[in-house]
This record gives sequence, C-alpha cells and structure tokens, in this order.
Amino acid sequence: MVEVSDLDSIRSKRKAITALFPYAVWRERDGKHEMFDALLRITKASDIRDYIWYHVEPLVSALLREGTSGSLKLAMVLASPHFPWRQFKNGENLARLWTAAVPTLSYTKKYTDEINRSVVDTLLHIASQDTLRGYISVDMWPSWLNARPSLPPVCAGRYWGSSRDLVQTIRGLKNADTLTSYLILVWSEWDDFRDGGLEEMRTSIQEDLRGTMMGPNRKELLQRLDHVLGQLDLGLGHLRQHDRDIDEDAVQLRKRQYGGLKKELQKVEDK
Amino acid sequence: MTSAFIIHIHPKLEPDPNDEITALLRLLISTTDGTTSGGSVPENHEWNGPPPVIYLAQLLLYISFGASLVSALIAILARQWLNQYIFSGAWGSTTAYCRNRQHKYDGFIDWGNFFITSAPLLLQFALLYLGISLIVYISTVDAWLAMAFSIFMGFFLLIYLSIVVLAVINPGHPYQTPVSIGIHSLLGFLARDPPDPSYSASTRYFKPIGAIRTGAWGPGVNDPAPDRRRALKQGPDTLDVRCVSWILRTSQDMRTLLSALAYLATMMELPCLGSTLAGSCFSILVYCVKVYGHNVVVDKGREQLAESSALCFLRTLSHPRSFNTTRVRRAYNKTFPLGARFDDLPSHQTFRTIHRVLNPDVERALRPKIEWRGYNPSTHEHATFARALLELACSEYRGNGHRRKVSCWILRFALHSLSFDPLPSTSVVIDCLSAIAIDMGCDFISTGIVTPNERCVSIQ
Repeated sequence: MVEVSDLDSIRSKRKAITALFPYAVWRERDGKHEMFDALLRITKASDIRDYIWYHVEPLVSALLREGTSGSLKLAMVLASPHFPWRQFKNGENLARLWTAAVPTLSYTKKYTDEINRSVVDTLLHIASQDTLRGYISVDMWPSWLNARPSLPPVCAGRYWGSSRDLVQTIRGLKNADTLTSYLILVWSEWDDFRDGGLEEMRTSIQEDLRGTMMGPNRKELLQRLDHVLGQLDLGLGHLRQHDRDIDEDAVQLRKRQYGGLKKELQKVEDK
Repeated sequence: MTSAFIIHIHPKLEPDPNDEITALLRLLISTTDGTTSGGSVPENHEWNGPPPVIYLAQLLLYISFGASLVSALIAILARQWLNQYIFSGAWGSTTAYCRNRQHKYDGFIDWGNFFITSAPLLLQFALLYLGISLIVYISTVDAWLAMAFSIFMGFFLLIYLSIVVLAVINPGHPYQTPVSIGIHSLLGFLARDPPDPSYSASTRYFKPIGAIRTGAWGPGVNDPAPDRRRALKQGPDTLDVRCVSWILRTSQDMRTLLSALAYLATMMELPCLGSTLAGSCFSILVYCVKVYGHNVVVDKGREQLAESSALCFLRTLSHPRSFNTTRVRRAYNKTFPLGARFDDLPSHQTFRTIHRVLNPDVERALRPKIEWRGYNPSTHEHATFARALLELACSEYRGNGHRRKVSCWILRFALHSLSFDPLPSTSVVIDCLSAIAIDMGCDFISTGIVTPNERCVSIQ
C-alpha cells in the first residue's frame, strides 16, 4: 500500500481509494475498524478528501439514515468534517440527516473529545452556508459550542464559520455563553475572518458583551485573544508547520485583526 | 457415361474377326482366279494389337471410371459419417449430445479431412480424363470433328482454370475449388506460413451444419478450427464452452440459447477460444437488436436474450489479446455506428461498456458515458458483469507493461457495487476489490479455477 506521507501517491490512487471506501464502511460495521481508520487518516493527510466524499455522497446519506447501526453513524459523524459540504449535489438532504443523526449518537467517554471536535467543526461548516443553516436546530448550538473542543489547525468549520451571516446567527440566539464559546472557537492564529465577520464581531462585542454581567465572558475572550496573539508572535516558522502558504503579510494582518478585537474588548471592559 | 464409351471402344482392343474373314476370302479368290489380284498373292495381315491412340483413349477412360467409382465410395462413406456426426447421441441428454458431437468434430479436425475433400477432386479429374479420352478417340474417326470438340472442351477448361487462378490469387473469391484450396495450402506450406483460416476445408464442409445466423460476421471469424488446438491446452471447461459455442451458432430455440448463455455467464474463467465465441455471442446480439439511425432498440420479446448475449459478448471481449479484435471491431462497427445511443435499452450499461471497449480511441464526445447511478442488476447479471470488468482490468493491466491504471469507469462500478446495502454477492465483492487492488499497483494472481476464494492478490 501507499505511505500516508506520500501525497502524490495518494493523489494518484484517489479513485481506487474512493472505490474502496464503501467496503471499509462495511468492515467497520462488522467491528473491523482498521481499513476505515486507515482511509480516514489518508483523507485527513491528503487533499483528496473532496474527491472521495463527493463520490460517496449517496452512501453517506444512506449511512446517516434512521436504522443504520450506531457505529456506522458514529463513523460518519467522525468523518463529516472532511465532507465537501459546498460541493455535495444533495447537501440539504445530507445536512438534514446529519443534524438528525448527531443527537442520537451513543459513544464511550474516550471518544467524547473527538466527537465534540467533529460535530463543532461540521456544525460551523454547515452553518456557514445559507441553504443549509436552517437545518440546524436552535438547541444544537449551545449544547455543542459550549463544549469548546480544541479544533485542529486545519479546520474547514472554523475557516468558513467566521462569516458575517454566521456571527449574526449566533447573536440571534441571545445567549452570551454560546456567543462566547463561538468566538473562542473561531478565533485562531490559523485562520482569517470571512466576509465581514470581523466587523460583525466588533459590533457584537460592543452590543452583546457589555455590562458587568458579561465580565467573565469578556475575561475568557481576552484570554483567548492573548493566546492567539502570543501564537502569532511565534512567527512564520511556527505557523508554517500546518500552513505552508502563509506569509508575513498574512501574519501581520491577523495581528492587526486580533489586536483590534482585543482593544474593542478592553474598551467595553473599561466602560 | 464413361462405361458406355468403354464398352464402345473396348472391341478395338481386340482383333476384329471380320478382318480375318475378309483376308481369307481375298486369299481364296486370289488362289482360284489368279487374274483378280494381278498375279500377286494378297498378304495375310496379322493383328499386332490396338493402335496406340485407341489404347491411350481406353486407358484414360478406365482411369476416369475408376476415379468416379472411388469418389462415389467416398461420398457414401462421408454421408454415413455426417449422419453419425449429426445424430450422435441424439436420444441422450443435451449435454451428452453436445459433448459427443464436439468430440466427433474434434476428431474430424485431428484426423484431417483430405479423404473427404478428395471426392469432388476425383470427380473433377474423372471429367477431365473423360474429355481428353473422347478427343483422342474422335481424332481416330475424324480430325475436324475432334478439333471442333477440342475447342468446345478447351473453352470450358479455360474458364475452370481461370476460376482456379482467381481463387488462388484472391482468398476472398467466392468460387473456391478443391484445386485452389490445395494450391493455396501448398503455397502456405512452402512459405512456412499457416494457411488462411478461411481456406479451412473443414469449415467449408461443416459450416452448412452450423449455419451462421447472420451475415454480419466476416468470413472466417466464426471458424473454430484455427483456435481449437490452442483451446485444447486451456482449462477443463474448454470442451463444454466449445459445445456452447456451437449451440449458440446453430440453435434457433430461444430457451436453448438462453440456457447456453446462462451457462457461459456463470463460468469462472472463459477458455480462450479466440474470436469463435465472441462471434457466436455477437451474432445473437445482432439478431436481437435493431439500429435506427443512431438509436439502438431491442426487438420485443428478445430483451432477455439481448441482455444475456450482450453480457457474454462483453465477457469474451475481456480477452482482447487472445485474438485479433480487428474483425470483431469491424463487424461491430458495421452494425453499431460510432455515435450509437443505447438510452432505451434495459441494460444500457452493458451495451455502453461494449461500445467503449470496442472503440477505445474514439473522441470523448462520441464516447458513451457509463452512468452507474440507478444500476441495480439481478444477482446473476451483476456477478457476470463484475467478472467481465475485472477481466478487462486485468487485460489492460497486463497489456500495458503493468503500468496502466484501471479505467475510471471500472473503479466507479466497483464503488457503486460496494455501496449496495446489503453488499452484493461474494463474487462481485471479490471482483471489485481485485480491480481496486490492480489500480493500487498490486499484482493480481488468479489461481484459475473453482471457487472465488481461491483467487488472491499479492502486494508488490
């Protein structure tokens, strides 16, 4: 077989890997996890995940339906952050099935972090799209965002989840804790803000996080911003571990953005 | 006729008693009346045998007569053998009948057919000798008459020789004769080159028994003889497949054809029979469909036959390197145009796959796209199709120095098949995984026979 590190080999075998995927799913159902785990590792380590998931969309839909065994649903939810939600032909149906499947998951404690990470990642990714956002019930946001899992450096949910529309959606929940959790999750040294998300966050800080009652929330947010700015201060060498294309301009831009947010928070704090 | 002439000429081989009496009478008259012969005594001519010309004419007539008798004997024997060939085991089971027939056919090929094919040759020689002997004999009667008869006979002899020469020069000439076949075989032997299969005498004489269903297949493509020896070296199922191939070529009964095709489809590995089997399956396929412009439609009531024959035809194409596909392609493209549309067919995936396999270099716009979405075949059809695609994948892989990847549409078939819930049959799963393994660079080894589980994939 191919080595995970050999990205070119993986890319050249993407069609065969995709064809093998359904069989790995059936093995997973039978309690043999090795093949499915290997495929997940391959998709995570390479840039072929869009290709693979796009072609197995019907199978994924089938596996997320009611009646599918719990382990398969769990496997699909764990894989869902890698789904190309923006490219699926029938993404709405898949989003509906996914949101219905998530509350029914049953898993042992050792999987909690991984499940939380996957669900939040996917939740943000789905919610970043206007057509899919409606499928997320109001209850899902606090229950999952407040878990505040540590998202990985490369995270599609965080990347797409900092848009203006999504910030407005979270603000619309009128839940300061959920808003705080959301901001902590999307503020990261690894990503910029999308489509006016930064401005909407500033507005949110000014309007939703003011007052003494919000003190603990602001404190948490300031700590998060300090952490992010500290990571950015480590320089390009640190950031290029997971983002080979990042340059100094991008680092400076992020410093300005997060620095601006920090100032905004401090202003509200001082008032 | 020859015997009539023999009887007519035979007296000339013996002394004529009238000549003796005439000579004696002359001698008597001369003795009694010495003035009649001018004083000289007439000589008593002794008979010294027949004139050489008469002797030659009679010899030729006897040879002609003998050749006719021998050819009649051969014809009677051949008729008897053919009756045994046709009706051998006719009262037993179909399987036994087919195997018996196939054994006899193989025997005909092994033992050669010169004896049978010599009958018409002998008849032609008999005619030639008869004509020559007549000319020789008439020349003793009247020179002008002999010349006129010679010109008449020579004209037809010239036509015959022209036919022979043309047949030797052009193998596709429709008026082949035993002489032209013999000359061609001799030339081929001298050139150390096997004779053209279309000259196979066995085919010429056995083809009427297994009449080809349609004329779509070119001459010689259905000829089983060239592939037989190679086929015998293959697996144990070779004989049965050859029987099935014969049934496909000869039977007009749909149920028989369907069961023969079903048998073929269930075989783990098809023995290499060259283009014979492909020709048989294709003939049935052509029999079931009609092409209107670019639209291909199946005749009512022949859907199942079309589906089965298409599947089996596809399987035979899975060994493209085992025989020359040029004729197959030519025959196929005569029936199905490049831009053929199979949208209305129940098993359009099979037809599209065949079209794609036989037109690999056609431009993308004309290439039919094979969509697997909605493809939900029966268990049997699915297994056959998967096997055919795996064989194609193996063939492509081996034929390209182990470098080429498996075609994308084959991998998409594997993806579609493995996505079934529940999973398809074990055979399909194994075939799909094998195709994937080949694309991943694994060396596919087929142990050959018996059960699907005996195949394995070794990782390089």
